Amino acid sequence: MAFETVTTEAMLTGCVRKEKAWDIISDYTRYSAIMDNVDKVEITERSGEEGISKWYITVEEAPLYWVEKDTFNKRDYEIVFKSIEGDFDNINGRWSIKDSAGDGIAIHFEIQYNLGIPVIEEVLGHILKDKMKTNIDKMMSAVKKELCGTVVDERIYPRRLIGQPYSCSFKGTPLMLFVLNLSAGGMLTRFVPGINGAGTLDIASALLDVGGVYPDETADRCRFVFRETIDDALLKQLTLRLAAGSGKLSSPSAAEPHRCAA
Amino acid sequence: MSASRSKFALIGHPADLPLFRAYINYLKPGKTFRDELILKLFEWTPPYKARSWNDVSLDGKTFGDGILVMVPFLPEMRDISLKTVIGKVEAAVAIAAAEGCDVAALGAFTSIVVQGKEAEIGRRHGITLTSGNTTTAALIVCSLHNLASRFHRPLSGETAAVIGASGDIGRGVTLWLGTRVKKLVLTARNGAMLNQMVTRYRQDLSCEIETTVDNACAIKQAGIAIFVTSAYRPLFKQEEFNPATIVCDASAPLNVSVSGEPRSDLFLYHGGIARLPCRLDPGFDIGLAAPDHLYGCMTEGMLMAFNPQLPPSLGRGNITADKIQRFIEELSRYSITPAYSCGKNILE
Repeated sequence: MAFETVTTEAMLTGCVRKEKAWDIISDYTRYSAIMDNVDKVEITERSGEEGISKWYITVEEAPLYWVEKDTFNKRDYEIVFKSIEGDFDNINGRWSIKDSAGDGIAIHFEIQYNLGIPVIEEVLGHILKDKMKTNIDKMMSAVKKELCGTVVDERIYPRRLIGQPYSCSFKGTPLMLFVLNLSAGGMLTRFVPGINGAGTLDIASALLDVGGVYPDETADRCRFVFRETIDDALLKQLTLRLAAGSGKLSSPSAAEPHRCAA
Repeated sequence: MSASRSKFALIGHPADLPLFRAYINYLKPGKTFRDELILKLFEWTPPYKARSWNDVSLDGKTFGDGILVMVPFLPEMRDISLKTVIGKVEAAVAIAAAEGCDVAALGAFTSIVVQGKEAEIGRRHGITLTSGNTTTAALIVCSLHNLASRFHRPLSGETAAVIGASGDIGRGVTLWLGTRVKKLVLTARNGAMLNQMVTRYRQDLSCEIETTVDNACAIKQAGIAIFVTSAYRPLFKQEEFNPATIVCDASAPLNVSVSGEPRSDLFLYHGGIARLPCRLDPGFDIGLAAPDHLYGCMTEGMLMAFNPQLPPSLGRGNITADKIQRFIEELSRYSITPAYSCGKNILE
C-alpha cells in the first residue's frame, strides 16, 4: 500500500519570527500541554540535531503510538521525523518554517503514513486520511495559538518609529538608522546600511552580535538578526534608550508589544 | 454464464473480540494491535466485500455465486450508535445489491439491528433480505432431535431450557419443542414479554411450561439447555451445568465459555450451524470448526438463492413450527445436516 500524505500550513502575517515558531515546534516536551490530541511525548534520546521520541496521540478517540527518529535542523528551520516502530507501519513527517510574503512566516507540517493492514486500509483510506488531516490541523492550530496568543516583544505593524535617527557602527562602518522595531532576536530598521553578513553592531552603547543583515532596498528596510537572543534586561535598556527623546513614545510600553496575525 | 444464475450475499461481522483479532491477524500476520486502536479503526471502516465464491453448488447440478460482505462492527463497540450500525448494515445491503445478488442473509447482530425493517430495506435496494433465523432454528431442533436419538434420550422425557426464549429464534425453537418435550423452562430478560408470548402460543404448546428470568434456575432443572440470546458476553461456564446436559449454544457471541478441555460428561456444542455438502471457506476464522460448516442464518441465504420460493425470515415472532419444518425439509433435500462442534468436530 502506498503512503498517504496529509499536509497543513499556517501563514502568519505580521511580524512573527521564525525563531519563536521554531522554539515552539521543536520543543516536544510542551506538545501535550498545548495540543489536546497529543497525550504524551517522551524524549528518549537527544544529541545535537538527532533525537528519538515516543509519541502517544489520540486521533478522534483512536489511541495511536509510535517511536520516531527526529532530525532537528535549526539552520533551515526544519524537523524531519521517521517512525521506527508503532501501530502504523510508518508515520513519517516534516515540520518547516519559511519566510513568507511581507514579514510573515509560513509553517508547513506534513505527515506520510502507512497503516499497513491490507483491505482495511484500502476501505478506510479516505476516512482515515480525513481524520489524520484533522489531527495535524489541530496540531498546527495549537502552534498558531501558542504563537499568536503569546505577547512577544517583537515588531508591530503598522510600524512605528521608536526613535530618532541613531548613529551606530557595523563592522567599523558608521551607520545612521531609524530603529523600527527591536526584539530579543533582532531588529528592523529604516535606511539600508549597505553592508551584508555577520558582525558586531554598536547601537545605543551596546554591542550586539549580528548573525545576518538582510537588506530590502525596495522597501528601504533592513533586518538585523542577532546571533544570540538578547536578554530581557538588555532589551528593555535598549528600548528605553531608543525611545527616549523620540517625542512619539514616552515609555517603553508604548512600543506596543507585537502579536502576530494568523 | 446464465442470466438466471443465482447469487447470494452473506452479510456478517466478527462475532467477538478473539475472532476479530484472528481476522486482523489474517490480514496482517505477525503484528499485534492494541484493541482500543484496532476497534476504533474498524468502527470507522465502512462495509466491504470480503470474499467472493464462484460456482457454488449444494447438489452438484445447480450452480450459483456468492459474496461475503463484512460489516465492521463488534458487540464490544460500546460507543457506536445504533444509527451508525444500521447505516453500515444498509450500506452492506447496497453492496450486495450492486454485486447483483438476489438474496442477502443478515448474520448475527446485523439482523437484530434492522429487525422489522428487512423488507423495507430490501425493497429499497431491490434485493430479498432474510435474517436466516428460521434455518438457525431448524438446525437447532434437528440437532436436538438427532442427539436425543443418538443418546437414547427421547425428547418426550426431557426438560429443555430455552435461554432467550422471547427472541425470534427462541420463539421458533419453543414452538417446535413445545409439542415434543416433557417440560420447557423458558427465560428472557423481560419476564412480562415472555409471559405474553407464552399466553399467545399456549394452545400450541402441549408440554408443561415454566417461565423465569433466572437463567441459572432454568439450567439447573434442564437436561437440554438451548442458548439463543443476544447477550454479548458469556453467561455461563461449562462447569455450571449438570452432568449429562445437552447444551446447544446457538448465540453469537457464544454464551457458554469453555476454559481448558470441554467436559467429557457434558455434550456442549455450537448450535445452529450447518454442515454443507460443499466448502464455503472465507479464508479466515469466522468461529466455525470446518470449511464445510456455515452459520444457519447464512445457510438460509444460500437455500433461498437456489430456491426463490422459500419464504424469508423477517421481523420477530414470525417463525412457526410449520415454517421450521419446511426448512428442515429443504436442508434434508441438499443433505445439509447440523454440525456439532465445540472448537472441533466432536462427533466426527
